Amino acid sequence: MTEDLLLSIRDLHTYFFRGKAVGRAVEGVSFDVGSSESIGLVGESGCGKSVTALSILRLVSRPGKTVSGEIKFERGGKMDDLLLLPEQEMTKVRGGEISMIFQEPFTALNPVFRVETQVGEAARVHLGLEGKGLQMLVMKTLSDAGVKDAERVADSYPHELSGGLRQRVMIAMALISGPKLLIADEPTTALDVTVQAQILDLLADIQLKRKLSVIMVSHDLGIINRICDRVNIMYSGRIVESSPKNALFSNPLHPYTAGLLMSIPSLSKIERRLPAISGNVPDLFDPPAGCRFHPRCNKAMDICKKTEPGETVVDGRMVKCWLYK
Amino acid sequence: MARYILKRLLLSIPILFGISLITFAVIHITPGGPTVLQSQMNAKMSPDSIAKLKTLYDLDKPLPVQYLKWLSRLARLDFGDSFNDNRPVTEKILERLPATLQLNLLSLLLLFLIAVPLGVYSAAKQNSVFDRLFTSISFIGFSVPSFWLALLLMLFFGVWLQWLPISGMASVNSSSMPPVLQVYDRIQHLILPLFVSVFGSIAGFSRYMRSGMLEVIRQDYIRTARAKGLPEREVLLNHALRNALLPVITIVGLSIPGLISGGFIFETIFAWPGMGRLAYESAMSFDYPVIMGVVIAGALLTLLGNLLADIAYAFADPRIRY
Amino acid sequence: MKILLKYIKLLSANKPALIGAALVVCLALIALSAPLLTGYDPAGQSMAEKLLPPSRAHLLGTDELGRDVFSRMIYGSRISLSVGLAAVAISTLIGIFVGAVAGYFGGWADQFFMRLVDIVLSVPALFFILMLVVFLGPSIFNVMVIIGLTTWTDLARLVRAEVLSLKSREYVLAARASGASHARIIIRHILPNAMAPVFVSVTFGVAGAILIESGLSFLGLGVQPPDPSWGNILTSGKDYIETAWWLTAFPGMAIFATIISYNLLGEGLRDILDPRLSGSKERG
Repeated sequence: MTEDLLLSIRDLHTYFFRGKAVGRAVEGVSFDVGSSESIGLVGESGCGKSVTALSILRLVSRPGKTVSGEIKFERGGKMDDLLLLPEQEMTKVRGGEISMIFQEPFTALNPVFRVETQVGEAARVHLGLEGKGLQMLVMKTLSDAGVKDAERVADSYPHELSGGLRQRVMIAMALISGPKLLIADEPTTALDVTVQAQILDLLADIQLKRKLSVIMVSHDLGIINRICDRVNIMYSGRIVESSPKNALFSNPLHPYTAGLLMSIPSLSKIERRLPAISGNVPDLFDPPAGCRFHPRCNKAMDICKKTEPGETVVDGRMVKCWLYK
Repeated sequence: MARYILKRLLLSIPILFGISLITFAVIHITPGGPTVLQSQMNAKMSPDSIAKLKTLYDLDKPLPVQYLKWLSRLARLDFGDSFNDNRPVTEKILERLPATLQLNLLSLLLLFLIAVPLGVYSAAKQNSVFDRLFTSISFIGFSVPSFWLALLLMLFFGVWLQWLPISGMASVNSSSMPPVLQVYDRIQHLILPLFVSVFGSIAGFSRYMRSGMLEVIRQDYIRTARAKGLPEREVLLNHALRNALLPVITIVGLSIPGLISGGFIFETIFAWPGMGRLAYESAMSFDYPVIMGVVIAGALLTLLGNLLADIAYAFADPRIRY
Repeated sequence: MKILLKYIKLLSANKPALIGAALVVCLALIALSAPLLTGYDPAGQSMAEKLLPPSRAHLLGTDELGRDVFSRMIYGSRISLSVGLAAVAISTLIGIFVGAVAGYFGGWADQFFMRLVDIVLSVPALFFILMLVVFLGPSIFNVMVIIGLTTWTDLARLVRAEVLSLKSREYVLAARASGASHARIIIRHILPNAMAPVFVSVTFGVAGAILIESGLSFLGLGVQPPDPSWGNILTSGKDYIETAWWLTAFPGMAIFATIISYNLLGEGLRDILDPRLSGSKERG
């Protein structure tokens, strides 16, 4: 893998408990993120990609719980397992070393505080800044996030801003204390198409300038295409394919990846192609036996219904599918 | 803001109008009108008082004239004179108002200081032993009739332990005491009425606070605050509480009529010389002008309280623009 | 009928509701079988036996006129319960009518009734009740009516909100398209589906009405002696607080027990019937 490893997730399991039933939202996920690398985590809603992202920061709330696994993160030259850190130490990681941007800029900002307060908070907590110094950093970070009249925006309440501006505020909030890793959970899904493109450009730009590592969580391979070096495809709680971006786009291995690629709405053509994958995402509380994708797979064989495929490495790419055994 | 307040004031005009109509209707609700009732039910009524009532409510004039006269009296806050001692009703109410306000404001303050932390703590530790205990106790709490609680406390602290006085605002001889003792005496007299007044509302109020906090804690912006690395204390006490307190402002406004009129039961029990006690005294002696005055004064206080709550809300919630 | 069975099943799974329901039934049975439970006439005075503490002869002691407190309480439960139930019946009818008309017709009907609710709410309820009692005179009947007339506002708002959300449902539109009258649509199609919050509100309402009745009776403005009511036994309790604790302790306990039973049942019903509350617990 990459020479300087920043984050290494091994065999992560995060479950949801509803009475006696157990929903296996994340089951045995492993992947690495190198420094300055940008990783895509892709799948339909309910595949466990957001839960994986939240698990990294230990923000999964009840009734969900990370039950096992390892999340090694590089801190001061050594790899700490985030799952074992005491809560107090973990608050330093959150927002200080790893930041997160959420999907809904409309609900993810606190309605009763001004933007300046909310953006500045992380710097106050992690960098110990106050007063004038804090204010200057807030203004600078807002402009870095592409906010033109930073003064006015800083003085506003979230409801006074447009969706695009709010998402820029979210980005500024995430960047202000100089994290090494940025997790973006569907950062553009709630925005208009034109604004989406601007925000994506901004993220790509920031990643380059700040040498950030990024985990981009999305259902949309089109977005991943613009940002990521490497892509992990998730289905029903597990990663089914992991490839460098170009290889994945030119030659998808897993039938599910192929289906996702088919359903990208291309901007050049006006007509939107029909979703190439029929059927629904499996119920996490009652997943199908064998390969979890087999009920929706057009290449399903007998073995797919009975036994789950293990990892196969093809040309340095990982895939879990009986077609490659 | 001034425009908002003005708009809010204009909105209460139809309500004031409605109150005048309802009270006017009540005067005429008794079969045969109030004078008949007077002479039947209250042997103490002299023909002189009946005549007074007639002129007070202009009962010999046609209905529309009666109503207009009634309306103009209300506009001037003139409720006539008491049948018992011939003093103006307004004067009698104003003299009782401070005691009621003192008790209610103090109990609101205490309510806030106790119920908010209780609710917040219970929500933060949802499903813990404390939370379960709190939920059960507060459930019992709001099922206890306040007048019974008052009697039990009088029985226990006043009669058996003899620790606290059981009636009035001050001892009979308090004016001859040194100032320090006078204050101590007043506080002693306050304890039981205040306790009963707060106890009745605390259960409902803190439960409300708890469910409000639980609702807010689920919001996305709380997750954002956690993702920033804020300590959990700050997440709860700053980000969550600020939002959870907003609806509480409205609830305080809505609870004002209950506080004012609920006082009429335990003000009576503890002989606390407030508006509630005045209402009771005048009810027992069929002093109609005073009852009417108290009802309308209560309604005005309620409207005023709601107005203040709305203004406070507009200040507290930046999303409200006027 | 099927739905009823389903609710009963759910109810039996909810422990507080079950306890509440059992207590409510017990209280009703006690009230119904009053003459079987006590040998004393609730109004039978005996100056020789006045203010006796609880003993084997008088389980809960006697009052200042030598009347048996236990028997007055048993008979008092008939009055308190029937005042509570009748008052709630009145307020429920008014609340449903106002809420349904305001919600269904909207427009000026809505404006009119909702302003009326605002007006009633702006007069402190107990003062309002006090005023009406004074003008109408205290009697069991008047107390029932007055409590009913002053406590319908919350229910009206609740029903209005339900009706508003139901009236644009497809089956309602279908009924309207097929030419059903407004009254028929409201009664047959809308109200049955709006009943869940009404049941909850009615259950809490009984507790509230009994509380008001006993408070009024306690102050001498409700049920008048010699008719027994829990509230007016407490009046003696206050008058003789220095000598006869049993006159304070027992009737208050009866009021408390009644209110807590109805509140338990109400909480249980809310858990079962109000999908919004139970639904929000499931999410996340």
